[in-house]
Amino acid sequence: MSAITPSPVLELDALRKAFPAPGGGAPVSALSGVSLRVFAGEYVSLLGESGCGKSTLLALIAGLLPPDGGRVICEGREVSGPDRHRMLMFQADALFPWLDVLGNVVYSLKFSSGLSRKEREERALEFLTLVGLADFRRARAHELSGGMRQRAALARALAADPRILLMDEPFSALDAMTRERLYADVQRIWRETGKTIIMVTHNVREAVCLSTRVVLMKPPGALTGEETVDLPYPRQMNDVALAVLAGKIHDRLRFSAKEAEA
Amino acid sequence: MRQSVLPCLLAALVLGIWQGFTASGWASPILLPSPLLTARWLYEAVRDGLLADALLVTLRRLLTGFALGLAGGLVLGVSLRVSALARRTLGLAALGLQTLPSVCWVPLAILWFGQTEAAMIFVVVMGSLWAVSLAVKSALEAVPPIYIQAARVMGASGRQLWAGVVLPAALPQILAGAKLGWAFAWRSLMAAEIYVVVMDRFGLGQVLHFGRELNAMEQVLGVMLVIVLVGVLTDYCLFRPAENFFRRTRGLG
Ligand SMILES: Nc1ncnc2c1ncn2[C@@H]1O[C@H](COP(=O)(O)OP(=O)(O)OP(=O)(O)O)[C@@H](O)[C@H]1O
Ligand SMILES: [Mg+2]
Repeated sequence: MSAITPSPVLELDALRKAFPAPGGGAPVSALSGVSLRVFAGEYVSLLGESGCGKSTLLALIAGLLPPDGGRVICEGREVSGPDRHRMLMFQADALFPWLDVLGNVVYSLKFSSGLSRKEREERALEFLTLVGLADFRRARAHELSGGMRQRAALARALAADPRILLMDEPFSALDAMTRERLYADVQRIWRETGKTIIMVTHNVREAVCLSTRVVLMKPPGALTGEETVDLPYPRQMNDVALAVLAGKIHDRLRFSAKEAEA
Repeated sequence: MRQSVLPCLLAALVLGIWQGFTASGWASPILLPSPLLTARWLYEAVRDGLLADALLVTLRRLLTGFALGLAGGLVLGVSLRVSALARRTLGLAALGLQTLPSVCWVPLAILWFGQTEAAMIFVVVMGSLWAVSLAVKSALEAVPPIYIQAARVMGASGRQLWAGVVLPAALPQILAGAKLGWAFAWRSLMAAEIYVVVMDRFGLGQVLHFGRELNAMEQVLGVMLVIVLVGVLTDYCLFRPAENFFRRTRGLG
């Protein structure tokens, strides 16, 4: 460890967010005071039951939603809107239906300076090849399966080469084989480029396999703890040490869910 | 080819019943001329160029008025989408004026522009503009916010969002608005042509109107058939292919 403590790339400071209740009444709290520091090159996974505010947290970090209270500080500056260096891959399908798959990936490169049209297409194709969709580059979103759409969205997010990548359940619709291949690719890209990644997932093993740190959440939008994953990369899903740690985290999650029920 | 068999059979059936009905002598030929009589009138009108001239005059007015109504409707629709002030003022006006049958504009048009081409275009524009602008507004409002959010995280903003995301996303619905505007423009123009008479240029509406004044029902029916035909043809050649394109590429419907 160096003597100088590095400053975090991302600092979440007591974030609060509530949404108006459906049909009136007291607002629904989605985040109730979330504070977290993320350092350059970290791979942080967010785990927590459905509806605990994970997607809301990513939207706030992306700058798509303003917090009701608290601040998001990114690279020393308070976030006030979206920025292409803070890319969000959405949980819901967000591919543009008026473009084909290649067009969708090219679009994400449109606003990065200094790439010619041809270079953009080549780069887009490179990432489509990575996710195994090169043959489907002329297809439209509605002609793809759910998993293929998710891979196209992943290619679109990765191709843009953001410094901070926010991914909302990026592998949830994929089969086990494709998933494991992409785990390897994402690990490689992350390690080669030194990106900071924050990923939401419901799969504890996936979180342990990819991340340097797993952060646990519970409703209504609170962090309940975290677990550092100190295993060497590249990691394999069926690694024993990984499975043991995943089991431990799983128990913690279950315990906090029971506690919430009581 | 196969699909056109049924409509052709149906048309033949209608014509047959019509012919039989008039031949039976139940209806006076002055009130309901036979299809043969109507066909003869159409044939004559085509041969002496009357129909082509009238059609040309009418189509020119229609296209000019529709283009203006569409362009104005797009501009108005966008401003209704972006500005709350516009919604509270122009939006209310559009909502009200949309319900006004376009014939109601005719007296005003004649007063302002006289018996001129401009009066005709004015009625067509007023007849289509409001409906188009409201359709464009709702088309823009129906764009799923997630597309805009996705474009924003990829770095798009302002004009790029409008040109690259909002408009392409809304295009199928804007097309539906244009189609509505086209139908409204047609109706308005026929109203205008029946009441506004530009002496050296007779459109289909005028020919129809003269048919009534001359008690020449075959002329009235002939022109009505031509109007229907133009409507069907524009739908087949213009709107249908565009709709099919969107259906195919976006998986709608
Ligand atoms: N746009 C919105 N309008 C109203 N309420 C919302 C909105 N977005 C989220 N919420 C509410 O905020 C809470 C957290 O939602 P969020 O989408 O962040 O959950 P999540 O942890 O991502 O869940 P999941 O794992 O199911 O994706 C939920 O109670 C949800 O109903
Ligand atoms: Mg979510």
